[in-house]
Amino acid sequence: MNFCLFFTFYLGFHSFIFSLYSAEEKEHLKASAIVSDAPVAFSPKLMGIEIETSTIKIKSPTADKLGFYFNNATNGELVWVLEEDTLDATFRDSARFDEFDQNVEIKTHPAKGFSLAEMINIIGDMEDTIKYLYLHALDTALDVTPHALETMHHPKYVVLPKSSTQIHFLMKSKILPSEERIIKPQVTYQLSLAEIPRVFRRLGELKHLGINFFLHDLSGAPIEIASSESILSKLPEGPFKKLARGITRNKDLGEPLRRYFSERIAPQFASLPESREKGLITLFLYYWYELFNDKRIKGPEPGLKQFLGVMSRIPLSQLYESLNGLEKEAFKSFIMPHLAFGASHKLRPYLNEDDEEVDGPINLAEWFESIVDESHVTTVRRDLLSPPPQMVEHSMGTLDINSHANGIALIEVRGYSNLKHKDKNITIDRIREFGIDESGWFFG
Amino acid sequence: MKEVKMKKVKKFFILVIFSASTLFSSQAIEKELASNVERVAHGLFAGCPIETHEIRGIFSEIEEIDKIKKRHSDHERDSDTSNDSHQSTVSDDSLSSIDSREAIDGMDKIMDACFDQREKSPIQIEQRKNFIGMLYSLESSVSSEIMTKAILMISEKLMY
Repeated sequence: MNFCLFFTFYLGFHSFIFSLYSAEEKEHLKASAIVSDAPVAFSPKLMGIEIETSTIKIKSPTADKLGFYFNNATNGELVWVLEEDTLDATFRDSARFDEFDQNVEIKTHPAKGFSLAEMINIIGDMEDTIKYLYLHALDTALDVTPHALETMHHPKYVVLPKSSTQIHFLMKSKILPSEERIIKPQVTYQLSLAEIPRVFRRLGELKHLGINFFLHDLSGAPIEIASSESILSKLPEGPFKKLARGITRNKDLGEPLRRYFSERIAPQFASLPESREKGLITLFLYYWYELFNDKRIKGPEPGLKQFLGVMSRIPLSQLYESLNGLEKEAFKSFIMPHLAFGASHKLRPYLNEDDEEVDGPINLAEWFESIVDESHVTTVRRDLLSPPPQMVEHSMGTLDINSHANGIALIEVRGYSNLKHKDKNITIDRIREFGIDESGWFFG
Repeated sequence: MKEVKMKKVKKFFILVIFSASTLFSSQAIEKELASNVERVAHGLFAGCPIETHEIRGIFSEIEEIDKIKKRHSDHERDSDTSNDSHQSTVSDDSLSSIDSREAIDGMDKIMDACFDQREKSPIQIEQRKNFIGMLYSLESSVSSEIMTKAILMISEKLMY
């Protein structure tokens, strides 16, 4: 029954690319993705998911990225992928994990979005697979074969290895209590620009730390919380207070911007009707708030996406281009007066792909200009953050709105792993529950 | 002469390989640590229960990073190819003077100051109290430097 439902919904969906992978995978996707150059009249809401976990490790002796494709048994199309992800040498000194140092990742087809019914089916299959692998790789290394996975899901999928030389591979699980078997999900949503504020509100409800502060300040509520003076005044004089003074430095740097958002931008934002330009304004303001905020902390990973709870896969310049003339004017007339305050705000520092620091290569005014300047007619117009300076293999703003998102917005929501879902960590036993909740909210 | 040169070249390559592997290892743990610190901060913000293993995880990741950095700097110091890029380790002066009790009290006060009335529901207050209780219960199992580092990292996240 589930399979019939799944298959029915599977037919007729437009393609869009969620992320870019290895050359081998790109070739595979090229063959299977339906790519259209023209925006379609009606673009459906679609969803995809990517889940990383370090609870199960893959042994990867070669440079090949190991993994399996789960193809629909009826039409042969790729549905989802299980593969090795980033190197995680956290346990390199332990004999158990000396060679098993690759995290496991499962993700829906990077070139497709899925409906509610499809997502529920796929997420259930993902949870069953991960739980099966975890339990069977606990005592000894598990030799994972396509046949075993195919049998487990019979008759839904044909499972094929990604690499022609490595048709099976070994896995080991970390021995952890169930509440520590944490997963890191990222969800991709294809949706109308007009729905972007709804995503922010949802993340606010889930108490996403960064989004909550952004929403708080954008609501115009007074900034009474955590002024550095009020924090420091509560601490007795002593060595700890001295150290705490150091960590309030960034807070102080971000304070004027927060006040500006609350006092100057919020009243104007509140009067905006729900519209596509409001969606783009929300994204622009959020990037300003998170990336051009004069904070000087670098993150541990290369690039800027680690600072974003919501990241556009499509360049903001293309989202701007997708607006009609009136909407474009509304966007510009909202943002431009505020550039008098924010024009010189520099992009926060980050590491490039060679782990070298990139510090303030552009400011807010330059970025804004690169979004709205339509004088340079090129095939794919990209603003200055798509991708950020000195980043090449970065998923931020690297996709094309027409060929990859049916002419509408495509955003990646990050940081779910940091949220407590119903007061609990999101673990391998709660993939289905989390997926049903978020897809139910999105499509609901 | 040739042998001496060969030895130097060999030593240089060992250092490069060692540096690369420790760097990789330390980055992976730093990434995990950042994510765990963020998870605890999100939990405190939302008033969710924080579990002991989450805090223990943060402690052991800080310890591990310090160990790797120490190994790395010791190795560089021992090597005649590089002695000018000594990195700091856990025994940093400002941290060594800290009493973990002072740091935990500080955390309590920071949380109190960081959240406004909206985030002070009885459940949230209760969870934050539990968190402080948990830090006290872990006090004897970890050095005051590690405890203070963990507290500063979480506090920084809360001070958006």
